[in-house]
Amino acid sequence: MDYFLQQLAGGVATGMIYAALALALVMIYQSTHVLNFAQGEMAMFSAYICLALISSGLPYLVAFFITIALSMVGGIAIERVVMRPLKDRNHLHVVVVLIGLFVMIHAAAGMIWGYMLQDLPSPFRFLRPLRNQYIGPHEMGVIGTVALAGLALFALLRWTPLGLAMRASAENPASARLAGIRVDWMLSLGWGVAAGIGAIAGMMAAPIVFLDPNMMAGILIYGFAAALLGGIDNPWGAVAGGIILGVTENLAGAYLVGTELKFTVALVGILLVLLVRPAGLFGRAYVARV
Amino acid sequence: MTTSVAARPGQDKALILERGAGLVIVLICALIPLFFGDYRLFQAMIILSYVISLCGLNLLAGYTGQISIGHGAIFALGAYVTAIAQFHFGLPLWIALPMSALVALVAGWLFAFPIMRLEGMYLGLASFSLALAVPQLLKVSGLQAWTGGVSGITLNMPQVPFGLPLTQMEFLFYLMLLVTAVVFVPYTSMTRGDSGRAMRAIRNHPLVASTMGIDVPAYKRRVFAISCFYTGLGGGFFALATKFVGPDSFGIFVSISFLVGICIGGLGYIWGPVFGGLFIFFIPTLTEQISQGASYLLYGLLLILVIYLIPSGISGLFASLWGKFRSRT
Repeated sequence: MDYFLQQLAGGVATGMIYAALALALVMIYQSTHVLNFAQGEMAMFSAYICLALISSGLPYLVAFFITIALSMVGGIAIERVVMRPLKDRNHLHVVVVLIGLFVMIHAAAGMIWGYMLQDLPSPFRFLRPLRNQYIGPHEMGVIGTVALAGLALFALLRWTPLGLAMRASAENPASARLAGIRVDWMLSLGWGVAAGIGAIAGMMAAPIVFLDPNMMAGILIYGFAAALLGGIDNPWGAVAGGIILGVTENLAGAYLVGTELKFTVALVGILLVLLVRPAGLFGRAYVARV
Repeated sequence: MTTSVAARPGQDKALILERGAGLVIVLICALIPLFFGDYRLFQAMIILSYVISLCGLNLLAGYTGQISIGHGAIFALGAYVTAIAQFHFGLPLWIALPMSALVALVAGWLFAFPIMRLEGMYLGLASFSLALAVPQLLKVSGLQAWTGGVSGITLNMPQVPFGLPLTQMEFLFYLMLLVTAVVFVPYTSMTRGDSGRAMRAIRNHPLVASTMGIDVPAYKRRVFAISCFYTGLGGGFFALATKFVGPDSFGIFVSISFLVGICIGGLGYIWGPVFGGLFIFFIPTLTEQISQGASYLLYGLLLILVIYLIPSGISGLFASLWGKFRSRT
């Protein structure tokens, strides 16, 4: 039973990381209807930035917020420079450009920081007195941080004029534009917020999986699976999907298949969701008028 | 769609021109062993295996408009089928290679049932996760007896039959050249006539295609399976040429470079796979000579720039230059 609870708690913690990445994917999907294949690499790059800031002597908390800010600027820049000119192109071109971004960010990280495993310290050593046989300090910290970030995002979207404008731009761009909202900037901001949340996912994941340019491949696929499971247009669904997947993965890994088949489990999960319930558990079915 | 529209004279001329150009290219390639050593020959074989694979991807992505970031996985399947057929069963290559293509065809057809119901972005995602899963599957301990796990399988070059006066390398090269030329014919004819129009209709407007009597899901499945046939065959040749298959030769970057190749070569152009194969072989080695680390950075940048500036790729560029030249004279 102890072993089970341990695996459960560990699963919730990794699930929160998937949830954060899934939230980032949902933000971008909602605003621009793009599945961002480069999201994982963006998060990986952010984690490296955080490491660089810490090595230059900044305290973790400062480095954490600077990383998020820089990532948001980077996300906005990517949207405006790279994605915007493709607005009226077909899916094929958009996907190819995202793959191009994936390759570029991956290569840039490898070039700047090398392919050796590096260690990003966990900021949650202060939680050590609370640890017990079920859950370690980093896991507790991850759950808390992602939950806080999710609440902050919710507050931003729900209770601020800016959030209202962002939601309006995603929901109905034409009417939003008529109401005087600068829709273009809201969409860019969506990318920025996504990059910021992705950065949190990267910084939380790095102490577990270690920093290297390949660190996010698995997390990206699980993030996609989580977003699909929860419904690609539903932020709450993404969080729920992330936790469900994290727990399932951990329990399946402990009792059924081991870690050898991590990607295969994700692949099967993605296919199952897309086939059985394409709208996800909490999403709305998409109906097109022709 | 049983009646076919009679070809116009202009089309006949273009067809003759195309076949003629193909024949000239094959004849020029046939001279390679006379002037270059084994290393160049090896490079040429790798390029040919890419060209065959990209023909398949072009049918799927170029003509039918269905993205796949997972063809590296099919390529791996083809390579492993040939390797296992040779290593475990001692089968000769004239059985092993068709097996690669057929196994890929069947696998592609089965895999198409779930994934060809998806569109656009989701199809990209499903194939992307396939590409990530396959290298891991190849390492799984349960399959290790067959796949050799992490250490892979080492192959032998095929023996030269009938006492032909060729080295083993030269024989394999000529065989590949011949097969490439042969499989190019159904590939080009698929892009014409009824099937070509159907594929383009699905790409340009699936709804209209279905109202015109095209069974869109069935057609997509068929095209996916055929495209896997080509890519599996290419993979089989790749295994023979490199004499080794291992899980790390078939990572996500193989799938990505196939996608890059066909986009830069020219989506939906007959010669796209040829330019694409040359590109994905030579450009990484070129950029690597410039800078080891920046090689892939340049690669990604090129990919994005091509989509912005010449979305029809190298073939499209040549086609429009040729059109300008024709209209001037």
